[in-house]
Amino acid sequence: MDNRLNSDNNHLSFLVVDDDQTNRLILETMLRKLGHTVFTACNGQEAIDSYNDNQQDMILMDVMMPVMDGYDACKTIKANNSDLFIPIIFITAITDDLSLSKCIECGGDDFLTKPFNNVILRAKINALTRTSSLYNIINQKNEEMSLIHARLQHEHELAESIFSRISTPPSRDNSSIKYLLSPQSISSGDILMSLDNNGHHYAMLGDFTGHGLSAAIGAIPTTDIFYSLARRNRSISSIAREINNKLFEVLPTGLYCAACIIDIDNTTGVINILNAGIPDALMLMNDDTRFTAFKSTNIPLGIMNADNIDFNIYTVDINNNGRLYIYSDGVTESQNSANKMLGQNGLEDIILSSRGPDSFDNISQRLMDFTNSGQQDDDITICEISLTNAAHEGKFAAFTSSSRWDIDLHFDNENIKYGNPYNTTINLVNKYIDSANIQNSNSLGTIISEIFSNEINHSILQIDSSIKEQDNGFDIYKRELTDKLAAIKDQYIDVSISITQKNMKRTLKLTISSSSNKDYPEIKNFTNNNEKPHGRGIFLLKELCSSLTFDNENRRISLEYTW
Amino acid sequence: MSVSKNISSDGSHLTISIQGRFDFNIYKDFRDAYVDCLKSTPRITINMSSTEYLDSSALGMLLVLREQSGGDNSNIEITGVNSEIKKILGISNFDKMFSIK
Repeated sequence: MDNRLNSDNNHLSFLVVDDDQTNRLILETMLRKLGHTVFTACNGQEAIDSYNDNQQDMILMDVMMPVMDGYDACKTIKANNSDLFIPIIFITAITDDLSLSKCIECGGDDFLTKPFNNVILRAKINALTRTSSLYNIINQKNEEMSLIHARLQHEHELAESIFSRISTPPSRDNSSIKYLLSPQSISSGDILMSLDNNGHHYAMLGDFTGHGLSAAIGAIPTTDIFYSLARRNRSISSIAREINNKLFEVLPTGLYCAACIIDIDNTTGVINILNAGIPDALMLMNDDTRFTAFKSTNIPLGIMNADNIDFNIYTVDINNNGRLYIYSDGVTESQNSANKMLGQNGLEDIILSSRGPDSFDNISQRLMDFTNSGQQDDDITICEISLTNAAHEGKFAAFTSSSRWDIDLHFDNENIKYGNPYNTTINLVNKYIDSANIQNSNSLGTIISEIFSNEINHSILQIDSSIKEQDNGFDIYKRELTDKLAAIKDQYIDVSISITQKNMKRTLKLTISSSSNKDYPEIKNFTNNNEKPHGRGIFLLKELCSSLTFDNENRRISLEYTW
Repeated sequence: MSVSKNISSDGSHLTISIQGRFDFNIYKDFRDAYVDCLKSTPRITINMSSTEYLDSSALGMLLVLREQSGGDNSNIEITGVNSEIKKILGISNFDKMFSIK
């Protein structure tokens, strides 16, 4: 705002309106003495003109004047400047109550009867000056507020546009997934993603605490991670783990993402469900009248700071055709006009009574009918995934069962010499584990590495690992390893591996034997000889494995490891 | 590169990070990371936050590093170990010889 009635109250500009010259002079003199600037007018019309030209800070107005009286002048000036506060004090010889009250009714701020007392007039001027500054301060704050509001609105729209761009729901052409998204505010906190890849159908429903910008911040890395890992056919627990770690990193405490991640694995005919803070996922097979419910068994993503969280995952065989529903808590907590919540039972009733090819349209319609009559407090997202018995058609058709996997490997002389039997084996095992969604952390890397270095370095190459005790022992050892490996002839290694899965426990059985008929002494040396930089391999295997046996005169090693 | 090193600005603290598999195949890289600065960096940290697994030869390599940097007077910290690696270090009683975090 301009300099009207600034803090320097001693220098205001006044407009004195009176048809009597003496009265004007008395007021003018008094005000000038106080240091103010004074303009004068002889009637209402002149007052209006003068105000338009000079915008005085305050007006002292007579009532009865020729051409236009004080009431009309006051009304006009106030009406023309409705966004400003122009204090007007009537100074009048009239003393009847009706005329005085009219001074206030027509917009005047105060009045004083003639003959007036200087002290009283000065007091009234001061009082109105205070009111006027207050008005100006509020005006100024209002302007600032509307600027801030406009900026917030703009940022909110940006957040919404970012969020809607990254949370683009799955294409509706994908007939196996149907959904209803009904955001509460202009930007939603729910995201729904889905991807078909290599015989796997991945889907994820995420419900972020908050809406708008706060949800968008978390949604950006979440969608990136989901799609990039799903494209690489990673297990849902690794997807959950990556998202959890990223969200923990970027989101402030209190913001997190409740999520349900699903992998329909058509290569093995199972569906894997990870529920972290979302209401029960509901599965309905064929003509069943009861749901199988998959309750949340994990902490929502972004809360725990841990690299090795073991996520609980449901694994279910798809034996028949069926439907799976995942939805945000906005659905069950939605209210109708009577403030009655839909509730879990209400939703289940709607789903159970909706059958046939248009079942989901029917469910959506009934949900919208329910909430449209009431107030929507949260985002409403529900999605239906069709399950079909499409097992054994996928790319990894070799792994026909999720419960057992067997492989026999034969490494010939050239393989041992130029290849890397360890790498080949661990990659195959990891590939199986990934495709079977086994994600508990394990020591398979260490065990398989140990068993191969024992077989190659000691049984076949006959290197004495006590070399490592010398100065530069590791260098000498490495040289000997390289030299001896380059010279091998007619050697081979046979490995049999089987992995079984039962009640969330997996067991690896591994048997290894080789062309070597030498019985190497270290095999029996199980001790952890504390300070020596070697000879710990078999000891480690014995500690990690539930059983470790040697037969055929130590030429065949068998082990079992459970995790 | 599966082995990377970083020396603090005052030169007293060497951090070696091992990505992926920690076994005999990275022996040379591991040794090269510390061999030239053992005298000047009394404090050593082995960062295993990106290590997938380690085997017995890695344990041997850690012991060689410990011996060359002063044995019982060495100051070696192993950080970022996951639960499996922690188990393997524990089986061999390495938690008594190294500070494992």
